[in-house]
Amino acid sequence: MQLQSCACHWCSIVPPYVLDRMQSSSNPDVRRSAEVTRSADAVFRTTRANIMAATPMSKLALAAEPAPLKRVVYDSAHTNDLARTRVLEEGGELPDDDSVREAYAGAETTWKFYNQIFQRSSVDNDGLTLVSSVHYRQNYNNAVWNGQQMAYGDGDGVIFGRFTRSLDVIGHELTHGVTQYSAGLQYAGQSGALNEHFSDVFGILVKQWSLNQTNPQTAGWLIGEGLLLPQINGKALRSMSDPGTAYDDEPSGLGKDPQPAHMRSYQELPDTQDGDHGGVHINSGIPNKAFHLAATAIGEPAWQTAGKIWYVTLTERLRPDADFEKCAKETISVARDFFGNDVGEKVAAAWVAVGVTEAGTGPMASLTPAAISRIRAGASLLKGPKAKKVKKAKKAAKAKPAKKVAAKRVTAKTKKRARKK
Amino acid sequence: MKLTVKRFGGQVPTLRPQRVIDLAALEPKVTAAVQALIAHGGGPPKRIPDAYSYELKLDKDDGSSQSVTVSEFDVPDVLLKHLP
Repeated sequence: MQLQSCACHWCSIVPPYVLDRMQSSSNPDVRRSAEVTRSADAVFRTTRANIMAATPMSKLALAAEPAPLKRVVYDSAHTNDLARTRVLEEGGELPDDDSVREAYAGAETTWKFYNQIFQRSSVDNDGLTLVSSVHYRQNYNNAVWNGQQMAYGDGDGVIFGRFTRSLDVIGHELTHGVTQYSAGLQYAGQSGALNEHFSDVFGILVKQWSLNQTNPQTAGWLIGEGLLLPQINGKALRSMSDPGTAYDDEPSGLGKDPQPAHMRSYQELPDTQDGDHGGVHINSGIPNKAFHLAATAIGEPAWQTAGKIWYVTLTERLRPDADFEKCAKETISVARDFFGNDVGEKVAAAWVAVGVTEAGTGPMASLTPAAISRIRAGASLLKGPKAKKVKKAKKAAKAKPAKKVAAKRVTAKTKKRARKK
Repeated sequence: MKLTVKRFGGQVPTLRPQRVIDLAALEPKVTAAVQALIAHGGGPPKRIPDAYSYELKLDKDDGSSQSVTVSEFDVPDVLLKHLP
């Protein structure tokens, strides 16, 4: 199955590099077509920029023609046939099957979240029908977005139960579709980890929003909570508040949650299937932690401010090859543009705390000295021994120059005395 | 003939089950599916979010072996139901 990806900055159908190639074509019809597309795109960009400037955050997304929610659910009957039996469509009678009901309801909640919070019309912002297949394959410990639809396994009954149980996993998978139709983040290395990160962010926000968890300090930050069966030593697939602590169960073969929470533990892995495409499910722990820190520092319901900053970043600011630093820069920029310096500083502090950016550089350079010192204090957001280490290192760094100055003074005095003698 | 299967990917990258399958014990169409996949060569890696990939290594009776890595969406059902 082919993935359709909208891999350009302004979400036009034809990516800029394709237009470049078309414009240098020897065929005059192809060149003309590229020129027409470019000029139409320029008009679209100008219009959109004007609308963005004049529209309050509550209506920030350029909503497509209002299209109603459309859902379809298939029963794969434990095969890999995604369209084996159509068991439910929009407004139909709910069958007596938990997986079907959960996939259907989860798609609705996710659709409503994107529609009500960001004025987005489905995954593609153009009313795409949300298709789910349940009971996919046998003992399938997974949920997947294949570029066109979702597929959910029932789990193996040993490690995992059915994947439709988790609303944030449904939101996660559908967000892969949103990413596909917006930033088109390449599924490898840091851009791949960001692809996973944005899916986790909006997956958890769908859940927090649906449960009205308005306080980020007490809201749930576990992805796939309840999917692991009781005999497994684990609570979820991933933890956004404390990456690396979601599970630890060697006997089952699950192993230990490998997610880092800071760049110092970033895992350089090969871009192979064996290497998780450069650690896309592993290094996503770092931006996940940054989002958690930003949302808790801002303090409002996470979907209200932090969620909007991340949504604008994903849909308007990032290109397919974006890395962590670019994501940090853009989220800080969006935060400052739409919510002011105070929120911008909190977002900046979050990225400093996970080691992606350094205070006083890049997007932080224009901040006031007072703001920079507050951002540096972001390190105190770390917990336990890590925080102590950071404090110690800071003290040592301060102490060193002082000693050097003192030593210089001593040397100068000694030289003066020597000259007098 | 022996087929060694390694699974990668999915939501949990640490979970990498491996299975050894004696193809002689299965229907001939399973062996045909394996040979067709290996002959095809798998193509460039597909980057489907959260999907599984399989490394299939076929050890033939003459001592030679061939392998291929494919996305779960490229494996025919007749073979897929035997994979982890």
